Amino acid sequence: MSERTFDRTDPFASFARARGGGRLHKGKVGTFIAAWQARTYIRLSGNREPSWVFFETILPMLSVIAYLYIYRYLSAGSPDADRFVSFVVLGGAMVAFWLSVLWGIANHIFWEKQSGNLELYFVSPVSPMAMMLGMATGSLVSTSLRASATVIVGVFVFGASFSADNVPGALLVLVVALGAVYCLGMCFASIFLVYGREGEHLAHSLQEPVFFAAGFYYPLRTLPAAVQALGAVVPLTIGLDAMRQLLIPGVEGFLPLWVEAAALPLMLVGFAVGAHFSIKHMERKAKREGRLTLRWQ
Amino acid sequence: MAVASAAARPPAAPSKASTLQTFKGAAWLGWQIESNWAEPWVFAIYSVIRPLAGVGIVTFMYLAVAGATGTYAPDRLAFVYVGTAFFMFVGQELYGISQAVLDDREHYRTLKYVYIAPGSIYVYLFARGLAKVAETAISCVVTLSVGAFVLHIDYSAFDPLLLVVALVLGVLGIATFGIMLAGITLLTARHGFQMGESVAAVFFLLGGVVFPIYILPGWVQNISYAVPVTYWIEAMRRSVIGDAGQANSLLASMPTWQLLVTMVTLTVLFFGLSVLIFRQFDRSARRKGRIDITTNF
Repeated sequence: MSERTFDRTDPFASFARARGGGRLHKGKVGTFIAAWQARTYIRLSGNREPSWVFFETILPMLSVIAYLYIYRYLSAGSPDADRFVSFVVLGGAMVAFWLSVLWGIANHIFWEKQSGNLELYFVSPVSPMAMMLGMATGSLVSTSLRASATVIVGVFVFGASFSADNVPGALLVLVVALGAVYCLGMCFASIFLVYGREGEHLAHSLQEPVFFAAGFYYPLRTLPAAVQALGAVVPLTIGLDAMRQLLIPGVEGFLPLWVEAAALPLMLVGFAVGAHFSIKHMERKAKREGRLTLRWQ
Repeated sequence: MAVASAAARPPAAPSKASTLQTFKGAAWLGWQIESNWAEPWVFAIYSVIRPLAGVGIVTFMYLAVAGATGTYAPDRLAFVYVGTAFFMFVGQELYGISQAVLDDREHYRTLKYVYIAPGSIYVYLFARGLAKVAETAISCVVTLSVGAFVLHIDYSAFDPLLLVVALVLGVLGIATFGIMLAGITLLTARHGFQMGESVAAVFFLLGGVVFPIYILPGWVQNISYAVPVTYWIEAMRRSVIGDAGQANSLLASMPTWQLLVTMVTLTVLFFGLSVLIFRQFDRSARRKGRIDITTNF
């Protein structure tokens, strides 16, 4: 076992060796993966504050419960009431992911800019994509807890019922849809490399309008066709519709299930490539205009 | 000795002139922060797009139920639509007041200067929240107009005097909760920005905003009657659509004057509580050196 030594003549020498004495330099792919892991770790360990569980898991669930009661009020006595409960529970779980994409990925770049970390990301020999993938992975884990809590409360307290046969298929759809929507979040994040408060307000304005257009609380087919088409740009819309078709018996989807199943991987690849290029483009623009370190906008 | 006695002396209470100046300055500052990030037309679109999407959600929930059951109940649509439109004030004011602490402390780093200025921090925070109220008032007017012209919601019971009285009382009452949240925010890290929306979710569920209170379980109804928002939303709703919807509950049997007296009583009560709570958290924040802290997580 080698021991780490401190050379007074070269204080940076220790940086060249890993704890076990091996080389730290990992090559391009290795560095990418290491940065991804490191940023994931920060996101996960940063969520250890107990008050976050209360404010980010329990209180937001109350909104979902309120929507459940709206259906009880509107469809009082109707046999369809139970089906609407299942709709809201699945949609409410997806709300958590959309908020995570907006505030935990896209707007987080603005946050890093304000706290002075953003420039450190860019002077390190690491791809910004790796950082954002790390944030996305960490967010996915913590947000999954909130989404699961919504589903559990929905099933055990409000009697939401789902078809157990198609759960594996629905989970597969969920994974691909989440991959695609987090890549979309990375595209949004690139906007914050250049813009400040404007971007923050953009995130605000993508909150309720997407809840509305994505049909989080009602069948997508209830909306006018133009709004349905607009909502379908967000992968969660397609993913949620496919999951409802799989898990809630008798649901007529926005598109046939096979079309949605084929569209999601395409969206995943499309948004991943889009994120790569948009980050590169906005990084270049931000550097040229001197906006990477611009605070108090 | 002279220094010691000066330090022991409590700070002089702000004069009426400085209170008014603080109020005006903070309200103007709040408005600038809310609105000057974009061209006026962009800001105008931004101000109405979120609220319209919010009422759009409950409207399409109603249409989904109506489509499934074949029964249309315009009074129920009016109930949820108007409740949702007025509830915007709650969320926005709570967010505006508590966010002012975070904005000033973390983003602009001016909270310490606000503290050493000769105005009252309580007045300052209230006035900052009023900027959000002004923005919300515009959104609310547009939203209610859409309700009238597109959904044909009947506002024939419109009572402008009741609307103004209830609105003023409501803004004051909600501000007391905003101040309490601002006090707590003095001790939390930047993630506290979610607190306003999370607490609003509690009121959304308990306040009879989008469904009558009798829909809730009996023990929860008792909590609803202790929430000032319950009476406020009812008074606001009565001012535009009359005495509609709150059947089978204590509210249905309350004449409007009694509703207003209850609101005044609760506002005074919660004002006292908010002063106590804010002072407690303020003292604690000063002792712990949190007034000029910047948190990087």
